[in-house]
Parts: sequence; structure tokens; C-alpha cells
Amino acid sequence: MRRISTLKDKLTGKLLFPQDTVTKKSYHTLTIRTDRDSGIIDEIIIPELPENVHAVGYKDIKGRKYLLIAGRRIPILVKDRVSYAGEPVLLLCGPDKKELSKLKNKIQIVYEEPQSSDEEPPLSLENIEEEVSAEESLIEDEQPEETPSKEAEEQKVFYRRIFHRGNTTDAFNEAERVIHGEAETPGQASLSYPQPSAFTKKEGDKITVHYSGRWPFNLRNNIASACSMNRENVRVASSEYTGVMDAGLYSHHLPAVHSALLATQLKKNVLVSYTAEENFLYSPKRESIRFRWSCALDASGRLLGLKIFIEQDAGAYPILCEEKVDRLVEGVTGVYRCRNLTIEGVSLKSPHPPSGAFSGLCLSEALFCAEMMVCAIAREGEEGQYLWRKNNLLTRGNKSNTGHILKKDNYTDQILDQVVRMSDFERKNSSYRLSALMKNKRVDLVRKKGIGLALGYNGNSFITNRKDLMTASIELELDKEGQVCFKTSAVPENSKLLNIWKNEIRDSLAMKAENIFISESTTENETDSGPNILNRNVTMITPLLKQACQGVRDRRFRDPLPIIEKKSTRRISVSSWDNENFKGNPYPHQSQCAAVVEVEINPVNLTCDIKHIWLLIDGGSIIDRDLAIKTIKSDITSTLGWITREKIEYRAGHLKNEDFYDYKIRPILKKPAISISFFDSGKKSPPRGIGGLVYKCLPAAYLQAVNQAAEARFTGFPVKKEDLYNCLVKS
Amino acid sequence: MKFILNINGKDTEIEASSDKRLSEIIRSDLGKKGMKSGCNCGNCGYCVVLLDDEPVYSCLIPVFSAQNRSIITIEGIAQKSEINNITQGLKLAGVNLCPACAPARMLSIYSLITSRHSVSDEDIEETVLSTNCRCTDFKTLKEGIFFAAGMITRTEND
Repeated sequence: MRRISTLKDKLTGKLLFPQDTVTKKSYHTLTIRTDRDSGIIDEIIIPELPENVHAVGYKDIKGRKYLLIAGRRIPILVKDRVSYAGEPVLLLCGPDKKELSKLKNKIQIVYEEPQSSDEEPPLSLENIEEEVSAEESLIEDEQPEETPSKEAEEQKVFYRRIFHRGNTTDAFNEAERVIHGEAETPGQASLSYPQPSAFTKKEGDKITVHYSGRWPFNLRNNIASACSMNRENVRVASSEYTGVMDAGLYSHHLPAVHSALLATQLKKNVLVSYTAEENFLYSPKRESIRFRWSCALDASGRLLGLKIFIEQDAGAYPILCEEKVDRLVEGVTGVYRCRNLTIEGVSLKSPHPPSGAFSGLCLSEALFCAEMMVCAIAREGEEGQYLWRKNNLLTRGNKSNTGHILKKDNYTDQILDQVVRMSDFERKNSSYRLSALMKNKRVDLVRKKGIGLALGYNGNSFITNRKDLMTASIELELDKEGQVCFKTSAVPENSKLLNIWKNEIRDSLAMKAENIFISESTTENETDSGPNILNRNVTMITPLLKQACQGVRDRRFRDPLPIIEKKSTRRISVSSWDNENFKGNPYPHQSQCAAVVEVEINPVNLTCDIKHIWLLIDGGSIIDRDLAIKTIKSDITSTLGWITREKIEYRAGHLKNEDFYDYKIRPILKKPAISISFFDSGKKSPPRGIGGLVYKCLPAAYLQAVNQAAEARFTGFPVKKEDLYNCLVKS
Repeated sequence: MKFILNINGKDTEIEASSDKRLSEIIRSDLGKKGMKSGCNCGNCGYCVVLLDDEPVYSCLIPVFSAQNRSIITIEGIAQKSEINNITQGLKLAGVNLCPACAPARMLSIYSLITSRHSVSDEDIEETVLSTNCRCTDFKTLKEGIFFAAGMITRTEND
């Protein structure tokens, strides 16, 4: 019933992850993977195995042979058709790791035919009719011949969303000018700790699976189906998450199901633990996304209409692709008004590992494109970056692009004004623009400076409004001994959140801290608190806890003990958000942010230094200021890693071992200077979740600043030294 | 091959190939799971141990080179009085480390503070950057180490 969470416990190494819980008698597992990204497996040649070594393949799975995540499937082990390089084919399990390594080298996978690129996709995918609905790309006519729409036709489309508002055809016909542009965001690996791993303990008919993911109930259901077991006999326990990236939703599912399968079949305790290299090469990653856009402008540079085409590289299996594409389509216009819109988003199949659930579920990428687009439009007009934004913001009384009327003040204009004042944006922006215009008169070796501005928001709920994603329950029990137990399967991002929950119970029920217990994140006796992502701990679980405390308080001296209060949330009502017709307000708990980034390029060694970051956060009332600042600073380091150096580049569908050694994550650094402020509207509002907010505004502000400093038009990041060389020296 | 390793003051005999990583020996053969092991290539810095009182990445140390040298793991210093001071110092600065990097950071800070009479800015910065985890920020951690160093000096003076 206790979660180890004190700093001293952590400092002295008492907190254990699944790979730490293994005992001497446990069996280890090596995963045999495909070395091709497509093709059909004809045969797997396995050498004669010692008595205590076992090989488990597709045919040995007794129950359901795939994982089911938000209505989409991933095979647990490949049957015959290969979808990406490194897909698991066979599990080799035994007591001695060394022996397993030797045997692994003797296993051969024989393919039926040579690798070919024009194969059919696996037929097991759900919603197959959507794949071939293949409506003509709406903005195809506007694009040059080698458009991604053509490529999209060649590739397989997992999901497509087309959104219209107003009349774009008329808007483009009336336009004085039409400008085109592109934006792209790169893939990123999750090298956060712990690596995907799971340890399954067999106890009679029951199994306990220790893993480090954040969706224990979904994993339990998948394990029960794969192993043909009763759900009651499967207990899933989540370890404390290290919380530096957002990829723990389903990337740990496969090793966990593998471990449970082996444990039930061999009747042993089994550990499946990926190495960092294995994790880098084969685990889910942030997807790369490409945007192409066209804007219709009138003579004064006013925006008349927009056409945007978005391609998301979903990888081999389309997990959460509906959610991601819908978020892309909703978010790609940012916080700005536009009367005439046509947006098409597609999720494409590729021979890469399935895309992961990274921060914002693609909303960060959408907002990056929105701000880069705004920057290009503002350049065309006379208003300048700040004024264009100010004049086109969605504010109170406006109709959002999804048809929702903003009844309350969202303070976006005040946030924009404040961040501009904080950073002295207007003066610096004018000064750097002037320096660029006077470039002929200045010495070439002068450091080049630039400044960028961006606005963003957090969509703290699932836009697809699916029941399995949206529902969450918690339970609060006051027992006869006067102790309170808070039961939830939610995995806290850090231990401070546990203290916040404890303090809430203590203050609300006037209890002593030693009588308050928070149950471990397990599926046994706990209630399903849903997938732990998108700040749900703050926006959903904490309010539910408050309601439960209120319920216990009301019944405390009326009802006999024990008092049990269960609280649940449901889906957003269709009147608030209609996902099918894409109408309404998809994010009731929206938090906002604004960022200004100042960079300096050294023309001698071509380094691009970020000098200062200003951030203004509007996350409602802040429960713990220190925790909020820590979250933001940690997000800044991760975001800077993504935008300055961490980029996944597949070579012919593969990542090579040397890519792992070349891929360096960004460490925490002394620079840049960071100024963080919290917006105070003067009115009390509930906490709205600030985790991941930095991803929504920092990338666009950074790239705009680099573009200004380098006098370039980079469309994506990271900007490498050779790009700067081409731009500054060659030109 | 047989090796004798001095782990946390005790001589322990182990059998392993001479090029096996010290981190693997400590975690798998000796069962000391307090120290975490991440990348196995000296990038993440989670596997810090003290080798002759100097912090090193144990994933880069082959077992043969650790023979006849003192190896201190996080379990070896967990009960020391300095740990309380370091914890208090970090807490005071608002440092909330993640469970993955915390043991490595603790060993580096312990080594820095106990091996020197005074610590310089550069020493602290080197210690901060020795573990490549993004769960905290540079300034806060640096402040935490300053506080911890101050607490230990004060305790010694008392």
C-alpha cells in the first residue's frame, strides 16, 4: 500500500524498476527480430535447444494474437508478413543469458521472396474501409507536380480527416496574392529510463506483471486476452515513472505481454528487458510530420483563406492515428481566426516502428506549423509579427475554427502583450531586422541575432472522445480504523504529486498525514483511472479526488464506516464536442503559453546559441509553484533536445547500430537564460495542466529566431552547421 | 576467470570474463540494484560508482581493471551521515530528482563534497554534467549542491 517516493529513498537507490526486481531463479528473454522491413517469413530455423531453453512463436500464443490499443491492432509476434525491420518474431527464454545469446545467433529466419516495396498492408487492421476511401486530395491542384499527395497515393493511408469551413474556393479566387509554404518536424527517439521492460511473477493461477508504462488496465486486458486468462488473475503493477518524456503509454506493452506469455507457458518468473540500443532501434518513436500550406491574402495582406495538407508518418501500425490526425487538423490553425479553411490530414503507413505517444500527441507539431505559417503571412503584410497576431487572435465572442463560440475571455491577447513586454520583443525584432537590411555596411564577422515569438495551448483531453480513452475512476475509502485510502491506477509523473493528493485529503478531511494512504498503481482492487497522459492527473484525477473528499465529508458523521466514495468522469457530451462532424470545443481544460526566443549565430564557428527564453504560462491556479517550474524547466531541456539535435533519420527504412551511438541526447546546460512567468488573470480558475506546454510554443519561436538571424527560410529543425554554412557563408 | 573485487569495503570473489562490464557485475552477479544502468556507452551517466573514491561510469570499466581497487556503490554510502545533509541541501533548493539518475548524482555529489575542503563553481558544474538526465535543471541542481556542501561543512564545524 505504500509508494516509495521520498528523495532519500530515490537517492539511495531503493526505488526499483522491473529490471531490478528480477531474482536469481528468474528466466531471461531475448527477442528474435526480423532483419527486413517487409516480406513474408517462410520458416524460422531453430537449432536444437537445451531442456531449459524455450522458444515461443506466433503459433504458441493461446489467446488473441494481437494487442488492441484504442481500437487498433499490433501483432504480439509476427505470423508471416513483416511490417518493419526489427519486428518481434520469436521469444527465446531460459535461465542463462549467455547461453541465450549464443543460441540467438544460430536462429535463422528464411523469407519467402525477395524484399519488395509494393506489398499489400496487413489485412488484420481495423477500419480497412477507411484506407481505400482515398478521396482526391483537396489541394492537389494547387501544388507542384511532385506533391506529397502523389506519394500518399502510393503509400497506404491508415486514416484521413478532411475539414472544411467557409468557402476556400471563393477565397482563393478573390485573393490578391497566394503564398505557399512548408513545415516539417522530425522524428525523435525516447531514450528515457527505464527502457521498455517487464517482469512477470507467477503465483499459482495468478500472475503479477511489473512494468513501467502508464496504462495498466489496458495492458491487463491485453495480457488476459493473449494468455486466455481471467482478468482477475492478472495483476499489473506500474513502477514510478521517471517522467522525462511522454512515451510510456504503450511502448512498454509488447515486452510486458511477451513476459506474461512466457511466464504462463513456462510456469516461471520471466524478465523481458530491452537494452538501450534495442529500445532505440525498435521501440515506438515520435513521428515525422510534413505540412504544406497555401494562404490567400488580400491587397493589405489580410488572411482570406487557408488550405493545409498534413502527412503523419504513422509507422507500421496505426496506434492512436485517429487521435493524432484529428489533433493535427484541429491545431494547425493555432490560436488564430480564419473564415475559410480546408484542411486535410492523413496518417500514412511506413516500414518503421509504430509511432509513439509523445508529448501533446502531435498537437506540438500542429502548433509549430501554425506559428511558422503566421510568421510567413505577417512578413507579407505591413503589420509585423506582433500586430498581425494581436489582430487575428481568437478572443471572446469569436467563433473558433471548429464552430465553438468563445463565451468567456481566454486572455490570449493579454498573454501576447505581456510576453512581448517581458522580452522587449518589438524593439529587438525591429533592431535585428534593421541590422539585416544594413548587412552590406557591417563587418561579416559580427554575431547575427534573431528573435522569435509563438503562442500555443495544451489540449488536455482526447479529441476522439473514445470511451476507453476518456473514462476515469477513482475511489476514496474511510475505514473503521479512521484511515483513508485513495485508490487509483494513475501513475504520478513525480512524487510531489502524491504529496499534493495527500495534502488535499488531509486538508479536506482534517486527517493526520500518517493515516492517509495512496494505493500502488496496480490493477488489483484499484479503479481504472485510464491512460495517464495529457495532464490527466491534474485535470481529471485531482478534481475527482476533491469530489470524493467532499462526498466522504458529507457522509462522515451520518453513515456507518467504512465509507466508500467512487467518482468517475465520462466522455465529453456530443453537444460540447462532436468529433464525427468536428464541431464544438474539444479541449475543456485548455492551458496556454507564449514564448519568445532570442538566438545568436556565431559566423566564425557557425554555432547557434540560444541567449534567452521568455515563457509566459497560463495554467489556471498553480497547485505547487516549485513543481510547476521544475516541470517547465525539464520540458525546456527536452524540447531543446528535439529542436536542436535529436533527429531520427531512417536509411532505407532502417536504423543502424551506429545510429544509436551517434544519437546524443541534449544534456542539461548552463545556458540559455530562462525567464518563466505565470499569467494571473485575477480570477480563480481550476488547474489546467502545464506539462508539455513548452513543446507547443518553443519550437516555432526558436526557428523564427534562427531564420531571422541567418536571414533564411528554414522550414524544419534541427538546423545543422552545414545549413548555416550554406546560408551565411556560401551565399 | 576469477576476480576479487573490493565492493563497499568487502572482498568478493566473482567469476566472469575479463572484459565484462563492471556495471553488469554489480547489478547481475552481485545483485546490487540501487545503481541503474542505461545506455552502456557512457552517455547517460546512470551507472556511476566510486572507483578509488573517484566517480566513474561503471559501464565503461572492464572488470579486470577494477581488481584490487576500492569500489563504492550507492548501497555503500546509503547509511552515511553525509547523505542526510546532501538530501537536505537538495531539498532546500527544490531539487526533485527522478529515481533513475538520483543514485548516480548522489554518488557524484558525495564524492565531490567529501573529497575536497572547498568546492569551486567548475567542480560543481562538472558534477552536474556528469549525469545526462533531464529531470532537473542546471541552476537548481547547482544550488542544491552548494547547500549540501554548506550543510556538511557546518556539521563538521559543529
